[in-house]
Amino acid sequence: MLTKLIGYEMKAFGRIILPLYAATIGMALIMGLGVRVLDREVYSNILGAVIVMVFTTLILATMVMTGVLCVQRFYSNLLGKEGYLMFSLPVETHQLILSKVLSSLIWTLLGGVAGICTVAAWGLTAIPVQKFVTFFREAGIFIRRMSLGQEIGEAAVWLLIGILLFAASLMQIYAAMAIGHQWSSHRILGSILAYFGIDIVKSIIARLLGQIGLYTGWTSFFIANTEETGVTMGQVQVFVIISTIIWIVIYSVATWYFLDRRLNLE
Amino acid sequence: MKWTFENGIPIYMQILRRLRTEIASGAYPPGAKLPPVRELALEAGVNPNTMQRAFAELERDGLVYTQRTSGRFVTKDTEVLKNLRKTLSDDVIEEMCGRLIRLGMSRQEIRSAVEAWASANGTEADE
Amino acid sequence: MAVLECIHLTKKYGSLTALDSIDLSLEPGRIVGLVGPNGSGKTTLIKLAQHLLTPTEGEILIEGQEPGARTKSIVSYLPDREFLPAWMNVESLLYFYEDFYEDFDIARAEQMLESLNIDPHMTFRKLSKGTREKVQLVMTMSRNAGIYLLDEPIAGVDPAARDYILRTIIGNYSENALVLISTHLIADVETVLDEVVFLKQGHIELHENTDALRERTGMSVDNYFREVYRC
Repeated sequence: MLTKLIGYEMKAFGRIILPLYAATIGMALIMGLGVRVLDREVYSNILGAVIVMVFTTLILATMVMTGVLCVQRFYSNLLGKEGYLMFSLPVETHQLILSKVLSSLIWTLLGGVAGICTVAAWGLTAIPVQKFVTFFREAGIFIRRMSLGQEIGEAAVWLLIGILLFAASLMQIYAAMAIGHQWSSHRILGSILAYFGIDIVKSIIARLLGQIGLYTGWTSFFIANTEETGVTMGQVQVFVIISTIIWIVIYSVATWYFLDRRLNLE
Repeated sequence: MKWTFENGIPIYMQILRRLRTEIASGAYPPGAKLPPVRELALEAGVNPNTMQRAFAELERDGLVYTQRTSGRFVTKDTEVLKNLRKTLSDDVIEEMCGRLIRLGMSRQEIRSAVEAWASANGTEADE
Repeated sequence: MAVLECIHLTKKYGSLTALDSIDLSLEPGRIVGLVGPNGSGKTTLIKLAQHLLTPTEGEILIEGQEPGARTKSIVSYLPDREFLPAWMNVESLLYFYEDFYEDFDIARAEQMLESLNIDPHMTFRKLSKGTREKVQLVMTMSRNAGIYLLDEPIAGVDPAARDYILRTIIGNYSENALVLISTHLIADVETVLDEVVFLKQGHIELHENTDALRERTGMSVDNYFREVYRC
């Protein structure tokens, strides 16, 4: 059932996001060809400026849209009119929540992949094939050297931290919306207030923990390896991973409670 | 014909009355197959259970019999059909006479009015 | 055996009591009318049966179980508002239902849509309001469910659509299923009902066989309803 739910989310996201991906990659191809075919001078005029602007707008639009959809799919599909359909499916409440979190995560990662594809599309068209082959050969050497060392492990840790921080911030929004829907009117305002309420609690706890030398927020990466605090980056990573997992659990339980036990559809 | 129902009388009794009339009048001739419960319920816009109850009542009175595989049929027993016609016509006569008496007519006046109606509307042979 | 059972079921919204310790037992093979004016607790009762609300006290049981994922697989629910995703087309809605509900009879749904001349490639949003309501009814009635919960299915529809809805309900009648129809328009549905449950301010005022009620009171259920709820 969870995979069916995620499959349905893929469609709901995809119908909006995929055209944006296609447009961005297409624009990258056009830009690349432009560099190859046209004179360099052409790019220093208005046409060049317009193309670059459109391209930048498309990238921004894709990023913003991904973020908006991550929130909006939860809001309209579970808490809006469609909630009557979704909460009538023979699935457990936690599966509904999990499907939203996982599909948001998948689409955010796919956004990264699309970004790489965009760069590749531009590169393939803009740079002569010869140079491209050399680039890949060098990149290959670089990656091989990395795998010899601990960089891959390090990168994996950072990726894990990124995913956890993303999931936690998304689930904070979900929890806030679930709480905001306890009111029968002004639900958006309620959700926003709930969000900041959680934020305040979170920062108070983070500050208290900081006083005993436990740095938990993502900002603590900046103070690692400094004399002032005397904690290493490795320690901060561990603190952040554990504390983020704890927050994810808290948000999950809160969201589940309000959706399963205190559901209040319009 | 469209089905309409009156207030205050159980629906199954109204269906029963109508089906009896249709059997007596020959709209469903002796030995004819009756439509399935569901189909007739749909036509009348009533609950299938209500239609079923009316059918059960018809069966109890011997007007209808069930063949396990092929459905429900109107009885071929002429005696039963004759009795049905008698019961139904008695009801009509009872009601009509009651109303005429309430209009202030005497029995003699009613009798001559009925005879006048019969002669004005042809003879038995015309039917 | 009862398929839907309420035992001292109570639901409060803050200080407002929507349902006050009601006891109710409904059996399969019946079409039951849940009637009462607005605010009498009809929608609350249906939402409790579907776990869209949780009881304040007491319990509601579907085939002996508390409402949840298991019971939702045997309950087909038609909410009193539009609930299908507007961006999907009718065909993908059919696949969605087939995907999630094992008891969904897609062939029956397709046939019903065809008889209504509804183009399955149309986006739900682009259909007229009346057609959207019909699609929702088709989806709900095309499941071979044990319980159908229909919340105000005939409110605000034209007479032709109302007839279509009632015929669909009769046409899909199954002796293994309970159909619970909530409505405040009794005159339109009373010939279709086996039983009627009158709700009044969160209490059950009456639960009786409709024909028995007509015989006992010498009135139509609608006229009796007007008497009970006279202001």
